[in-house]
Amino acid sequence: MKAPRQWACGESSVCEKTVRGVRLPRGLSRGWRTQKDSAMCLAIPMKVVEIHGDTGEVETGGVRQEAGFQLLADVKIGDYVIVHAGFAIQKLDEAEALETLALFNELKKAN
Amino acid sequence: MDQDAFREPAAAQSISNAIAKEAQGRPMVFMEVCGTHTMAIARHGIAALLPENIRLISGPGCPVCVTPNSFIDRAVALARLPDTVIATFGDMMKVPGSSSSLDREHALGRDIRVVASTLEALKLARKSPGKQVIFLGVGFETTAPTVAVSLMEAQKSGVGNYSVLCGHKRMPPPMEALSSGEVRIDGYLCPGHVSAIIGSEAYRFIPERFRIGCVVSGFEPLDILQSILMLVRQVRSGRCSVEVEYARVVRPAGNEKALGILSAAFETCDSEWRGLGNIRGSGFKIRKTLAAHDANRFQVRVEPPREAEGCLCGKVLKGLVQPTECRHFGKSCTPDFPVGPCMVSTEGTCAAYYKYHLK
Ligand code: SF4
Repeated sequence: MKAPRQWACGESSVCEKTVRGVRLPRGLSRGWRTQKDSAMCLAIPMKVVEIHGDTGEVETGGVRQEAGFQLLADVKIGDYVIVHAGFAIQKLDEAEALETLALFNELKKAN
Repeated sequence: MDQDAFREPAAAQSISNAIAKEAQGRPMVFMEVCGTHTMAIARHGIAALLPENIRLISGPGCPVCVTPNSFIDRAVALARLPDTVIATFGDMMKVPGSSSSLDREHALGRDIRVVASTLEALKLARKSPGKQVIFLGVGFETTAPTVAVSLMEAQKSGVGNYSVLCGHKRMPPPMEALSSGEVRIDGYLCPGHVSAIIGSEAYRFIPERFRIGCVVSGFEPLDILQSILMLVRQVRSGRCSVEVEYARVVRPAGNEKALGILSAAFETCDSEWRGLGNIRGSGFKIRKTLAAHDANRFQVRVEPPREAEGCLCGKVLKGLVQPTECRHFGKSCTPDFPVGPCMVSTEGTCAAYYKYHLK
């Protein structure tokens, strides 16, 4: 699968047509430019699977993409990172993630 | 880690119940500053999970939307230069400038390429020695460091034909402007990934000076609901502070390495925002040491900026009006034929409204 396209805002889309297409005259079918809805890629932490110097590859759900690690200190294979515009911008802290989830659970029980 | 755990319906319902109970009917207005939050809120139908007295309004956190026409006009002018390649993220393509757009220039045969990252743009420059490659730098503190990396690398490895047209902006200054503005705001949902870079401490001045609470939120539905609950609790208890719901990614001091690279490449400057006007210290400009890679060194004639008639983007960005109050909305302005930038970007408030509220 092709790596998701990156938007300035961090949204990703795998659709070529939205961005490559030229403006159609009014009245022509507009369905041809459908946009793939994959904004959540942004918020999903990706796993570091390869490192070559400053760059490497990250993966989620079977989709691999290149990523720059220039903005992070000490990245290791197996780390989960947030990737924005092709760069890992922060590591995911698993202990904090579990704590947040525990909080949700507490609220559920209290209700 | 299981991402679905952050979307669990039963937990969403209990947080929603807690919000309704604890808000006790008191009217509250919260602003989600970030466009990705706007989109997530629309997509997951978060508003339907909130009691009537809690209203969410969208802020100026969609980078494409707040980029003024003058920037797009300059990009268009640069695209018309001979032997020039414009490299950009995809969402800038359709944004209407004063009289053209990059999409239109591309159709007319100008060399405009959509890239996935600045490193790809830099690669393009290396592969096209006879051409000037100009990357359009748009975005907040999340994107700006990635552009900074490319500038530093271009300088280090002597890629003389790579430059950046810098339109980067900073998030806290417009929040400062909005905090004393026309719209009453009881709390901010602060952007998760801008905060991953700048850190939650960057918002401390908001509760201290304006007595408005801040919660840095993640992007999953439970993150957003939980952050709203945290804001409700701040309002109810009369205390206000900066809290971090998205602690799995956001640290108080942010990402220090990225901040270092950011300030090595850029310095702050005054900057023009669509709808908000010129805000002091709200932008980034390329440092003198990197002037050889600053696209402002190219002399071009830029047309005087002209706004689309009747477009209310400026007011939408300040949370003053809903997109549906615009006469173009859903009629002459749709994501396929956008009149204003708020309908172009996938994170624009008008686009989010169109996509999730119209059908
Ligand atoms: S609906 Fe279109 S014209 Fe109206 S404010 Fe939104 S983007 Fe501007």
